[in-house]
Amino acid sequence: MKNERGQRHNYVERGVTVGFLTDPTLCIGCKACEVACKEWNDVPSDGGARAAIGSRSYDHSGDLGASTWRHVKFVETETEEGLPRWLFLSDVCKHCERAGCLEACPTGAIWRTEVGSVLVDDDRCNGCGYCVVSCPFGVIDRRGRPTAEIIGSIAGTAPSSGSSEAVAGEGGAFKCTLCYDRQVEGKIPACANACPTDSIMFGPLVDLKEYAQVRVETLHQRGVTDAVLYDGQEGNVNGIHAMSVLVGGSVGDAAGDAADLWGQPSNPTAPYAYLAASWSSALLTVVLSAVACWLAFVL
Amino acid sequence: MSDRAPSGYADRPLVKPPVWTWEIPVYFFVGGVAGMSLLIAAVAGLARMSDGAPALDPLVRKCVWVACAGAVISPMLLISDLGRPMRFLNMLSRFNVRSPMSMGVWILVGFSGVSGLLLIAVNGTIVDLPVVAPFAGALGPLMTTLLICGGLFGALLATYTGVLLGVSTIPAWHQNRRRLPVHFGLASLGSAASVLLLFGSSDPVLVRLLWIAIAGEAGIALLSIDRSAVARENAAVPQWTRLPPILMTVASAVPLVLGLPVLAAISFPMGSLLSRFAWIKVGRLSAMTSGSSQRD
Repeated sequence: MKNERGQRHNYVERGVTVGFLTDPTLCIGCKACEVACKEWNDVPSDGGARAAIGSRSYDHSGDLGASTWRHVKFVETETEEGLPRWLFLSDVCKHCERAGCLEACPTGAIWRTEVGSVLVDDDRCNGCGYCVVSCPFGVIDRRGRPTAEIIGSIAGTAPSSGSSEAVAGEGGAFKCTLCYDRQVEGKIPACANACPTDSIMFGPLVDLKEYAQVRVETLHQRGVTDAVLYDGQEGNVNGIHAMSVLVGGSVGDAAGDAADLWGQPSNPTAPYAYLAASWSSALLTVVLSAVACWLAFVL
Repeated sequence: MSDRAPSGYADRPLVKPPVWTWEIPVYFFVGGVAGMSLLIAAVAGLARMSDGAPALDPLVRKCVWVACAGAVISPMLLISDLGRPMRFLNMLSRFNVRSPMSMGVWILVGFSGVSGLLLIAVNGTIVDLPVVAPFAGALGPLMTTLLICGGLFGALLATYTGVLLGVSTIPAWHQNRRRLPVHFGLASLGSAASVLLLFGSSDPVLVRLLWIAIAGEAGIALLSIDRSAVARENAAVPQWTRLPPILMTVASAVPLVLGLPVLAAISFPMGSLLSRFAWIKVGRLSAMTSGSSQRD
């Protein structure tokens, strides 16, 4: 399986659920995906606000955020023989099958497309910030103005001259769109298009899942025994549309250890799991407060 | 299994910290005081019925005024916290039962409407209007209905904010998803009684309500901020977050016993306000230290 660059697809017209599969065993850490994403989507600079993983790391973007929709993680670990092992993985919004951000949105700005991706309608979002605390993967964020304080906190970085200027889209929530605008045109997402090693695969989710199983088995046969598929089936998001093969965890472990290593939740829990308990507690408090008031008045 | 301690990726937090600023904790407090004020008004009116109509004694009037003041200030705080304040009304384009943020806005809308109507009603001016005179008989049941709706919206306004925090990915918040609405509701009830006391109401019922709130807060005080869960990973939880439970229990109960209700009426709401700030602070720290090692 490989990305069909230059060929037109009609997934949008046919309503085919699409997704990503990211494979760290193919990733060379070139960050072409990050650049392509920024370029195509015209994502502004975050002023380096999320930078500085550490002076020895090649990771300069640090984290996914409102202005970083693709992020290549650099992990240094060791093989069983004690040899250094340098791993890369391009992280992105997971486009959850049941998305916490979408359910939390009070304006209806967050919606699901016919290809199964989750989008923020920038014309509708009023920047309430509730999606930010509703994403179990810590992806979506509100775009703020990079402040001098944040910029100044990054060692060796002079405060940017534009720090007090307005940023495009300021105040709204942003994240990966799975390049919906490109898909409408029959093109594959910019990151997958730019990926030189097909580490980022784009295609119909059904095909990707099938290919992922084959890929993990192939990796096992070739000696990469710790390869596992991270597909969000644990937890309550009912699966994710941006899956990845993870390596570096314990052999035989079901994605848990590897998820820890890559900073992914091993049990992604969208907050709707807490709705019933919290609301029943609130309603109970309403009743008890009324009873308490009544007693205070009649006694 | 490897012995490597799971610490996540480069110590980066697993979930994003809340972006909310000071307006939100202040709104939690103001909305709570206004909301529980209207509940007190409702119960006061209904508990002291006369001739089939709710009593509109000075306490009820004062409660309605406090509620209306809160109904004016609350949206201002909410709007000012938005990333795009001009688009506040987009909130009213959806009724999303799965989003406590959406439900909260609708509760606030209902609350504002009812408290506005009640303000007109308790000031008695419409009763004197010639158009209203023929329907004077319906005013009693209408007042009763308004008070019941107001009490319900008010109590929901004071408690839903706990749900708003509880239904999130922030560990310190969702771990306390049951406790938060109870705590916010009780803190609001006591604060509403305190504010009414400070505004010169000497109704003994208010002192009783304050006692109820103090007792309730004492019941959950030691648990009200689950510092232990956060502190295990983060020593940066500031000491002032310990203050609210003290202010709302001991520092309020002692003046009450000594016959100084005004002191208690200052201490309790201070604790209540500070507690909302503490929960936001603890939530932020909790997010910053969330790693995939934390499986809950």
